[in-house]
Amino acid sequence: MPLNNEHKPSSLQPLARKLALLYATTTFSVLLIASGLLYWSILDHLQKEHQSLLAAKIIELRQHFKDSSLLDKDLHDLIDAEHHHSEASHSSAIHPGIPHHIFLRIFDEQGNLLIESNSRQAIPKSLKYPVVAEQDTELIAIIKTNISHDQQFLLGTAWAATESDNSPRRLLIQGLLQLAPDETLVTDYQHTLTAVLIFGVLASAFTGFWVTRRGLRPLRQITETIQQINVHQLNEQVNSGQWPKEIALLANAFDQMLARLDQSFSRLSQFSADLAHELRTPVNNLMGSTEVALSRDRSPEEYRDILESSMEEYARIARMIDELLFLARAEDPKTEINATVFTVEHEFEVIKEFYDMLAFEQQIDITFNSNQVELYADRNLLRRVLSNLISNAMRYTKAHGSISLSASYTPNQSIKIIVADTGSGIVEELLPHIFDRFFRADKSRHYDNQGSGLGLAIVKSIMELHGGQISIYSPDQQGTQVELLFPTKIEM
Amino acid sequence: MRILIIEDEAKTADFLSKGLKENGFSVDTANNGLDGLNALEQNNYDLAILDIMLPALDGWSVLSVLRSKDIQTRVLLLTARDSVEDRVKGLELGADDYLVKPFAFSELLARSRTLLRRGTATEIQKIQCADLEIDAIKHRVTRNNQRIDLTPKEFQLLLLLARRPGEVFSRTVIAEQVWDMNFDSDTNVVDVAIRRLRNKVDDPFENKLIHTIRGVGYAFEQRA
Repeated sequence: MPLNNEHKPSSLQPLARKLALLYATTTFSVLLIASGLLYWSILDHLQKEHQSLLAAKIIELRQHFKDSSLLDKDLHDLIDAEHHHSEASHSSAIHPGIPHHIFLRIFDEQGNLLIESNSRQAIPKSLKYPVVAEQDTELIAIIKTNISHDQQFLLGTAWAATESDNSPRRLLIQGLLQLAPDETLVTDYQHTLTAVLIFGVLASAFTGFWVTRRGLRPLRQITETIQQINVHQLNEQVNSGQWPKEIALLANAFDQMLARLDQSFSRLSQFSADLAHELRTPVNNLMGSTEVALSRDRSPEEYRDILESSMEEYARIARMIDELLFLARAEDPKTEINATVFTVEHEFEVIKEFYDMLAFEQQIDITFNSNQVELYADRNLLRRVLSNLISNAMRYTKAHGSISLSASYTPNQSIKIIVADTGSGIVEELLPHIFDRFFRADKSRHYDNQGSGLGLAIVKSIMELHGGQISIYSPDQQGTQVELLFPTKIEM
Repeated sequence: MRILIIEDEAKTADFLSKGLKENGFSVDTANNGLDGLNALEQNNYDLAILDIMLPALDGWSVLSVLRSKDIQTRVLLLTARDSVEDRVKGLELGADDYLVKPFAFSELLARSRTLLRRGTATEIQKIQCADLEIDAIKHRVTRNNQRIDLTPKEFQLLLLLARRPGEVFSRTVIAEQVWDMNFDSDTNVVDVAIRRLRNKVDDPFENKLIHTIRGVGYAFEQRA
């Protein structure tokens, strides 16, 4: 089987590759979506962090004004010191590596700039701070402004209440926080995600390939086992019980197919053996008697006797050939039957008439009851069925017994014909073989008295030609009952 | 009556020729299709027994050439292949009958006679053989002026045999003609029926008319 071996790898790997590719694309999509979502949520989270940072700074200032009620020169220090403080502790603790440039300005009610923090970088003049009503000293408004892709700002506005010279005053605090362009965290994150994506895809492709190859190993083993199977090992079991469930199911189905094949095969070879055996007896008789006859001169009467005896053997062989040909033809799915509608009653009469004299001699009673059943079937084939069954029944029924034929409609309008006898019945173990070719229930019976052993096989094949069924019962071995079930005309 | 046997199997041709000659036919043989066709074209045969598998020219071709030349010799086809298509093909090509090997010679003889008789004689209604008389219309059988009572089937059986005295009827043919059973059955129904018929027709008399040809069948004739 070198040819099959050549085919093996090429037929296995595409599946492994395909699955690996499938794994890789699936992993890629999942990772891409997941990291996209993560990226978005981290950006969102960062922005919220910045917002709260700015808000905290503004609140701190406002609190300072409330408490100290003073717009003193310490404020410079405060703005810058707090700023630095926030840069040093706050931001570095929470957001390591993210520089925060919080720029603060304080105006009085008239809009005069009182103080602003040192700006380390250029701040666009056109920024629009959110507007808050003067009376509202609790609210802090923060908006985000995009000047350009690189310049994104959070702008905050709040009013603070304070006292100056024992008279209440209000101060406007404006805060600005520039969201740093190319923030390293985000960039890092992007890099990591890309790396994860590439690595994930590669890893999943590799593991996919590996897992598939590993998973398919039983399949390869099955293939090897199956390749070992030939006609002589049809009883070999593919399913060794060590395989995963899916493969085990396949192996099981294969085993069942093997069992069926084995059965058909052994039936076929049994048939060939039986056929040879069946031919052996008559051919042996012919050769032997002719040989003996030729060994010396004989009287004409003796020659005649030998020829007549030979003729009987020839007739037996010829009939066997006829019946085997009939069976072979019946198995051909193209074979059609010549079906017509007729009353079963008439057929029962004809068949009874045929067997009446023989039945009379053997003191067997043949009765029938057709119940006016009409049948759609091949008339000649039905006669052959009935004739074979009655001939069989007669062989196993003793004197004073009876054979009864009956026909009836079943509840679903099929037609049931029963041939029952009061004969010796059939041993239960033999029932499964009864339709086999050359099967004879009574092996001890004398050769000349036997039928061809093909009668029931022919009956069965005729029933199959009609799309019907046949079953045989032998309750307590008290007689035999053969049930023929014909479908209605429409079903055929 | 002239019969031509076209058959390449020597043994088959031999026994056919011998059997037919002994039954009063004049028989020629040809062992291939071309010779057979020539013989049929040049001579006036009443019947050709034609094998299908033949060297030089097969049976189908012989038959179709024959019919295309409007030679209406009756043709009985012989074949080892028994399929419905073959049968239909043979009859469509203009064969008159068809026999599948292995066949009984008595069967071939009967078919040949039927073919040769076709369209000529009417059935004889009154038969006399030795001291036996059969009236087919009145269903009456007498022997030595004694009335013999037969059942309808026994009468049919006797009539079948007696209408063609000397002809051997196989059990299959008898079952077919008398009981309309168109298949080989392995019962001895026919033997029982013959025995019962003999019981009435032959046993009381010294001159036996129904004869057993062992392994072949039965025949009716006066032999003494």
